[in-house]
Amino acid sequence: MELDIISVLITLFKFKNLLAVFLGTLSGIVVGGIPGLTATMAVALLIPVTFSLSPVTGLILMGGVYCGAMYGGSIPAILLRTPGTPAAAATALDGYPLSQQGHGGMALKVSVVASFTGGIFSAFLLLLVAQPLAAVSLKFGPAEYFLLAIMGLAGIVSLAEDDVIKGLISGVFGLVIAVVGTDIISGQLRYTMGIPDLYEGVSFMPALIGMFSITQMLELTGFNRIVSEKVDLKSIKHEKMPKGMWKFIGVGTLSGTVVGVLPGEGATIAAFVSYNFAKQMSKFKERFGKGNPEGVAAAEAGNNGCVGGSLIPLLTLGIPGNSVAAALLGGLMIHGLIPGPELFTYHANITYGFILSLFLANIIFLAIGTFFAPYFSRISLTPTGILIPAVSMFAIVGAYAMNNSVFDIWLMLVFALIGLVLSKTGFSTSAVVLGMILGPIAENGFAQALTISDGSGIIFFNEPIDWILWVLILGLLAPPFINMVKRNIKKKKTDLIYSDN
Amino acid sequence: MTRKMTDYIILIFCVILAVLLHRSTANYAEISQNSTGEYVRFLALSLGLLSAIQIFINFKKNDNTTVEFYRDKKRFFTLIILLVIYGLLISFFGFIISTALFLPLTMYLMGHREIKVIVLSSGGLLLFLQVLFVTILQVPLPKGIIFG
Repeated sequence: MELDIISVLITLFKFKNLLAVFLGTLSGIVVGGIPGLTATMAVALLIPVTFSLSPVTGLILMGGVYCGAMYGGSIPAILLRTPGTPAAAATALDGYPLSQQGHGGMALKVSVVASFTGGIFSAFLLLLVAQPLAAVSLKFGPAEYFLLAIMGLAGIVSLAEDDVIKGLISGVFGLVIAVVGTDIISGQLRYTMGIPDLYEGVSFMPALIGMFSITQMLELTGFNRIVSEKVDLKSIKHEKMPKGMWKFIGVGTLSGTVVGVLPGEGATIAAFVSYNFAKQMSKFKERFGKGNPEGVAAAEAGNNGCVGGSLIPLLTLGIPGNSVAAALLGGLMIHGLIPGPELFTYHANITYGFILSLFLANIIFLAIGTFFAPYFSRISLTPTGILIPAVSMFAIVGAYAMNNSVFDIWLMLVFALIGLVLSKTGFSTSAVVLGMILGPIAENGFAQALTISDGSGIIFFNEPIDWILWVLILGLLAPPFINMVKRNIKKKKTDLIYSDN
Repeated sequence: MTRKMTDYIILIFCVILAVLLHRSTANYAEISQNSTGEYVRFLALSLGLLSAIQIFINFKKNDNTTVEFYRDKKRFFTLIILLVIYGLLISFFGFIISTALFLPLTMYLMGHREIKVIVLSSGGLLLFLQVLFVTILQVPLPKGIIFG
């Protein structure tokens, strides 16, 4: 099926699709606005819901949630210094001091405009660049796909600056879990313990919901409310946006989109990279961290710029840019949409319908954010006594509905406990889940490449693109290792000074 | 339990897992030995090696911080038990009855004492779920052994 732009637009503007993008964006803002509920969790929970929808409506719904949540996270970050999503942590650095100074309304306006600009630009780039990149992906063989999977893992592992080895162990552990099931070459069953539900492997969706959602609910048992502070809504209305913001919105948009394209790099790192760039460029460096709207502008443009960026490797190569994109990958696959060139040829109408819906999602959150932002923050005051059972119920429905399997509910609970232990001990649950998702890609690539080369590992170094991928992998892994060594040397010097004294 | 101790437990588990994984590939079919067998051996070696390195790092590190898995022991374990019971109830009585029991009970045991709010929010959530999942989206919810 070739691209027919008129039919794409007709499909997009059907009532049910407009409703899907509106509801998706609204629920994304709500979820993003509640600390502890992540965009990944919301998209993961929505996947079973999209079962009975047409592929384009399902994807539009999930895309709306993604865009909405990225913006929604900034609301409690600015008003309460409680980032709704990890990506909004950089926004809180200057947003909350602005609220303390009575400029919360202005910070919210800067945030929504920056988020909108970042989101629109990255969606535009996705529209223009995704197809050429998909053509490049045709040149990728099994060896290159294996290296891409490793690069995806290296990206997310590189974020674990403090415990880079633990990050790597987490990623490999995820790859090991993905081995359970049927051997793709011989058809032999591996590590299934005679459980028929494991014949097709460990379903990653219950694991994802368990590790992100139930783990968070267990964490919240220690709190009566997510946020204890009261929000003063009267003081945050009717403030204008300051001048000179566009330079920083531009910086954030560009750096966020570029970081988003890199597999494994997420919105959090995009926001911090943008924030750091803005700080370097600002005439008022000393005001950063004390209430500079330039910091809010760059951070928010950065994390929303990441949305379209992260979808480029997802749609073209099947490599999720971050954990939300990983959950979206699940959404694509349950509708039989395999990332790659076919998405832009055979399924072009669905793919472009989805991409164009991102523009609508951005317009919707701009409107909602401008008028209603202060009121959303009240949701974070919901007592955990109500929140925990409600979210647990949705998590259990989500885990069950994927395969209509009660076994998956138990799987989800087991992964929730594993996730809790791993996250409390400095291991990365994101890397485990990404490992589980990338596992089949890595195994297929590795096994096919070795079959082609008759068992010779040289195949992973044959093509120029292989060398580029190796350089990128090393480029992602080297800085955290260098930082780790530097920290150790510094610590040893400090210890030596103390012992001398 | 100290962070160092929990680290050792996890890392030793990983080393044992790596050894077992590596040994298990001997039972793979001949056709897989040079492909998926090799892949699993590669994973086993990576996991074992990385875990050994981390054990060595931990050995040199002087970290006596304790790991707190929960802040409120009673609520934490109550939620785990309730989730397990919920899972069992779903298997026997199906989703609707189990959820009608789980929601108000969990809300109460998680510390919410306003009966009116508990009843209204439980009913509202159940109704929302029934309408959205079953009526509109036609997602089949578990009926349980008794009613299935």
